[in-house]
Amino acid sequence: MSKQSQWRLTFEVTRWEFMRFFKPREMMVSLGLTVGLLLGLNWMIRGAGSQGEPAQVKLINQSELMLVIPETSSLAVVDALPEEAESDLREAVAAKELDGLLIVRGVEDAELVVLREPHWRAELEKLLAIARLSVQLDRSGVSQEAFAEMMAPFPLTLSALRDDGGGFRERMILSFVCIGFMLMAIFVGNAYLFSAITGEKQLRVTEQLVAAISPRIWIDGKILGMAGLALVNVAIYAVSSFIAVLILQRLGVDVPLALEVVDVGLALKMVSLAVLGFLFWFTAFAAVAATINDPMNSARNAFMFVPMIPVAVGFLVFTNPEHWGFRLLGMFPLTSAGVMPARLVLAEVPAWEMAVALASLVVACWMMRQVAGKVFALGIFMQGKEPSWSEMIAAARRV
Amino acid sequence: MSRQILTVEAVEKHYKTVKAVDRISFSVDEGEIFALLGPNGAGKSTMVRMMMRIIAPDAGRIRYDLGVPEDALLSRLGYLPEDRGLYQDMAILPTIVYFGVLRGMTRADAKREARLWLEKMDLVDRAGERLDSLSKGNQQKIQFIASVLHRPRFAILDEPFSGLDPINQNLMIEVLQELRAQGTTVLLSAHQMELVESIADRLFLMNRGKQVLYGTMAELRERVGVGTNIKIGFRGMADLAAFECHPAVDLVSRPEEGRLELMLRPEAALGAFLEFACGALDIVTLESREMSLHGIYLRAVKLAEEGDPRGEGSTTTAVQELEVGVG
Repeated sequence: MSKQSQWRLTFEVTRWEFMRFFKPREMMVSLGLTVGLLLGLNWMIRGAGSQGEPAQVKLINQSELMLVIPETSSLAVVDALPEEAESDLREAVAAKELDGLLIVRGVEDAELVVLREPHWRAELEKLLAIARLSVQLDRSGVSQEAFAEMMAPFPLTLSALRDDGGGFRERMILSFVCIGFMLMAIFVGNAYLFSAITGEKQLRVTEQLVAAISPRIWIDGKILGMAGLALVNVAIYAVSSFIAVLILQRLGVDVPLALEVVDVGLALKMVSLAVLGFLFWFTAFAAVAATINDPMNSARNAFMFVPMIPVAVGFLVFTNPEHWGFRLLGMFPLTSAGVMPARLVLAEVPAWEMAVALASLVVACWMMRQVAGKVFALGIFMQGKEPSWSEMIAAARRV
Repeated sequence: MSRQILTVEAVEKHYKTVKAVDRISFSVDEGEIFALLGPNGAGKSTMVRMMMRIIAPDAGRIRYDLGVPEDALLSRLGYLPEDRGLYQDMAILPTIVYFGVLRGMTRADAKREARLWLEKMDLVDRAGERLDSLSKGNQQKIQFIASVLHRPRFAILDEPFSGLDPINQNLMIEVLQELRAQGTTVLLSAHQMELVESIADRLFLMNRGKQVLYGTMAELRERVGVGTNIKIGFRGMADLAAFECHPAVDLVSRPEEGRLELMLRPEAALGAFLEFACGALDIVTLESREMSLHGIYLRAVKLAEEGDPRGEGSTTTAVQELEVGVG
């Protein structure tokens, strides 16, 4: 068969596999849901912060502490009247007539009486600490202004020679988002692939297909079709998230994402790494999926999650992006797809390292394709049992 | 002499505990309908899978002469597997077109041919429906269309009559004859012998992985040595022993009261036997016909089990002939 015919058939399988699972209407619904969910979440968080009655707390102050409650606090602390006995107030808390009773007996001694531990406990502790600091400053003869000056951060001027926008924190979050999307692509893709391959075995279309095309063309087309589908899914989520971020920023919400860092060149590098890394793991999973006999009970289902581990190593890069270990993992094909995008955002990556990462991934993808084709051909015909790992290794070694 | 487009030479296939195919040899001539017959577990489907290169034989050779190199073979073959299955959640027309395109057709040709076939199978109105909306029999017809849409030179059909009602079985017979008329050689594997008997040019009968009989119907009759089949309906009593001892009678059975079924020896004179029967019985009805393929098969298996060379000797003969021809 000519190369042209092989490509044509591979394209036909790719197209068929993609169209089998491509549901544009459902994807548009999920896009709308993502945007809506993000906006709704923001509204809820803001609503929770700004609305609602502050907790009513009565204070019995037997010390020199001066508790200052800001207006925006979730607490409303009022001094207890002299005639109100402590025991009465305790009963009021027990009867849910009062949210809390604060008894301050000294600078280092206070008791909070509540029905259950409240969400504003940390806030109250912070206010008490401020009040205590004020007393301690008075005792030491240091003015509030002098203290504030002492505690102010050092005015370090940053002269970044390459200022392409965004601070380290924003870049770190951006790297997390990139790795997150790739993990999502792998997970979504594996789920589609798993369903497509085991489904075909159960639908018993295997023999019909291999009577028309070789297992190699079949698996190539299937991988490309399913990969395309997973990437379209992830792209839809990425676009909808981007739209949501833009809307939130328009609404004045501080979204810590350094989108300005991403230029065309960086985007191309990251997409290339992500797609190749995704294809590598995807191909490996296709081979394993073909060996699964009963999708409900096979222990090999767990293999779906294996690619998550090396890719997720990328989440650790922020700890020290220039560490030699991460530089090495950034070029190693099993981990480069997760580590290198993070390094590209967080560190200075020499061009040769990027070239090695891409080249090693291309070679690894090609080798995995060869192995997967053989294991796929072995597994796809087996009904009623799964080939053993040794049988799979033997098949992979076969010339 | 017709061109042999498939030659199977001394093919064997072993599984863990069973020899599924045991030194099977035959050839298929261009333009014929060739039937591979046998009961369930005879080894037919294993043989078919080896022919389709789905599994490899442990010994022997399977060669095609379709005028194309090995890597282009699949586009010239049509295959209806025993394991039926299609994409249940997909529409009928795109599914058929997909399989046509995979076998080298253009999308437009595949679509046109698919519509013609759907019309022939009385399913054209349902072309846009999902496959799982069809009955099992209709799904079977769709699968058949998918396997012959590309007008293969050689169609291998494993159990094409399974799951079809009598009307659709007849339709399938017509379609197979039409395929042959259009130049497609057909090999069908089946266990419904009465259906196959009416359309097959040559037959290969298997049992437990081994050849039982091989040839045309006339050759099979001659090889097994079967005579006429006679069914007699009578009144009163019958002396069964007298029939069993009669020199013209090979087998006698009495399926029910007032009925007698006999198989005469091939050399028996029918007239003389009927004269004897009229004297021995008060005959009400009489039916005479040549033995069916089913009967021939049962007789051949029985003879083979009894060690009669008419039952298993044919295997040796056929293999020897083929080896001489190949050598």
